[in-house]
Amino acid sequence: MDNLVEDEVAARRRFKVMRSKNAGPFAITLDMVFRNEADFSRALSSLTPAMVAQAYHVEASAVTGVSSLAPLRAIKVSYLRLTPAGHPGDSDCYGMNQEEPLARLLLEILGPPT
Amino acid sequence: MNAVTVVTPTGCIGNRGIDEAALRNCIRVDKPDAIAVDAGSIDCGPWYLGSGKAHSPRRNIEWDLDTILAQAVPAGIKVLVGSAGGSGAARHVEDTVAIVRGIARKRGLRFRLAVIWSDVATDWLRRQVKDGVVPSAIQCATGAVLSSQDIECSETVVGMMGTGPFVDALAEGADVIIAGRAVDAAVIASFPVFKGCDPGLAYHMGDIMECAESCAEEIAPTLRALGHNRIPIVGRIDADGFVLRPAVETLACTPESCLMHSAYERTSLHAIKVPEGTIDRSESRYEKFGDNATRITGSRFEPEPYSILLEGVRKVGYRSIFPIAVRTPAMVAQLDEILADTDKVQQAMFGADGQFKIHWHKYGDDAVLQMAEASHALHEVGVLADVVADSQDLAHDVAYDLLTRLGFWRYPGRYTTAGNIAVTLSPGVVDVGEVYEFSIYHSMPVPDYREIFKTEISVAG
Repeated sequence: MDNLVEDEVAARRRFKVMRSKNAGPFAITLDMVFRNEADFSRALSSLTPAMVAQAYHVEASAVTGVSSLAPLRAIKVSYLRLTPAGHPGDSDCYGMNQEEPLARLLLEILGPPT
Repeated sequence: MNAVTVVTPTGCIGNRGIDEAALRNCIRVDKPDAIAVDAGSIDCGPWYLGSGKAHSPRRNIEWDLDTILAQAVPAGIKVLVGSAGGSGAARHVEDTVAIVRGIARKRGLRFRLAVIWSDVATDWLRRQVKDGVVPSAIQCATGAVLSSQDIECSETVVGMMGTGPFVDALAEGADVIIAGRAVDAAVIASFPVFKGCDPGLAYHMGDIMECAESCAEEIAPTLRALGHNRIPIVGRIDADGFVLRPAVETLACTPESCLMHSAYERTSLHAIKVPEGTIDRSESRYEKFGDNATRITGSRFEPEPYSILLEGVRKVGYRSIFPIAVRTPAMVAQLDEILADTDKVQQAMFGADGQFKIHWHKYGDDAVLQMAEASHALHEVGVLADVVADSQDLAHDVAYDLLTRLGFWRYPGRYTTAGNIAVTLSPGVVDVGEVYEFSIYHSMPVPDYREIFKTEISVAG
């Protein structure tokens, strides 16, 4: 592994969970769990559907509202796929590997660790 | 009411295999009333519903069904299987029933077998369309209304059942139930509902247990060391709530792990839409219960007019693929232009023979995230060419021609005059067969589910 990847891995240790998965063939749902309260509340107050739409190159109307589970420091957001699961041209049939744009967006929102 | 115990031994029949010792132990200790398990998913795409093939290896399916039946039937434990064969259409259900009957013969087991079909005849669906207009209540997840055209082009359509057909079969004395397409949580909720448990609690329990040990954390490393590494979850439900516990002590169902699994594959954290209504989890409480269990209370069932989710697919062509790699800097730098140019030549060469489309997956160069990718320096790109055409013959010929064309394409600045690409396989092109797309993924009101889901009961063994 080169240094670039090691740096990316280290930055993402800030998330306890950062995952994506199909919610039916037409939607992908993203779940994130934060390790500390400050990151969770910062993310929850800043993250908007419009930002998610921009990160995933979908229309703003394709992103559902941001919801949260405070006891878990968890946030969920979902969006409609550009290509349905398993149709020709789709790159990720199960939607299991779509978390990275959100991870990148959140690291920008959160800024360097305090 | 008395407490009811249900065991879910794996997240999916045929998927990596049940840990036999763990199932044996929990049957001995927990004395479950029922073993309830899902066998399918729509996650793997439309091909399986269209082709009638299972998405798990046959020997894995046999392992799981044999492990369950050999232990459950002699002990008088009911067995409920939903979404048989992966997609739950007639061909999938028939294959699973044949395996079940074979196990009964081989092991000398005898039981009352209920088979529940979930196929939706396009004739029946057509009758729901009045004068070419589909009732607006039939809505897709994307908001699209079901059109007559969607119905006409669909080859296979299934409806997703709730607890009703399972409860009916149990009332008729079934010991083993093999069902077509079903809500995964409903398979697990059905025996408790049959015994009078609250559907809100029963469905919520099923929703967390449906993927077996996925709802549990490892206290000590356990799963990577096992070949058959699906670990049963034991659910015990009473009048006020339910307790979830893994069948081995090195795993734990914690309030956090159960909550996280409640969020799995769903767009909503609180509501679960099921055929009979909605499960509201906004007031649910999750409490640690002993060393490795969690007790959950407060989930509520809100009845609504019965509606089922329909899943349908249409055939869109035939596929041939080839993987290659590009390591030459001059070609890596111009890859997009080269692929677009060769694509144009293929259309000119073969366009008169039928329609086809080439889908490029450039691994190492934004294949997975596509437009959402941030740019990175490249040194090597893996290319998967996916040709989908009107016929297998045409897909094959376009793909082969394309492979050699790319190999010797004279792009500007080319210095690799003996050839351009690393070809991965011999034969270079793989013919994959039919390609399907989802044509129907709509919820539809159905006054009587028995109109769609038909049950046959017979003796096996």
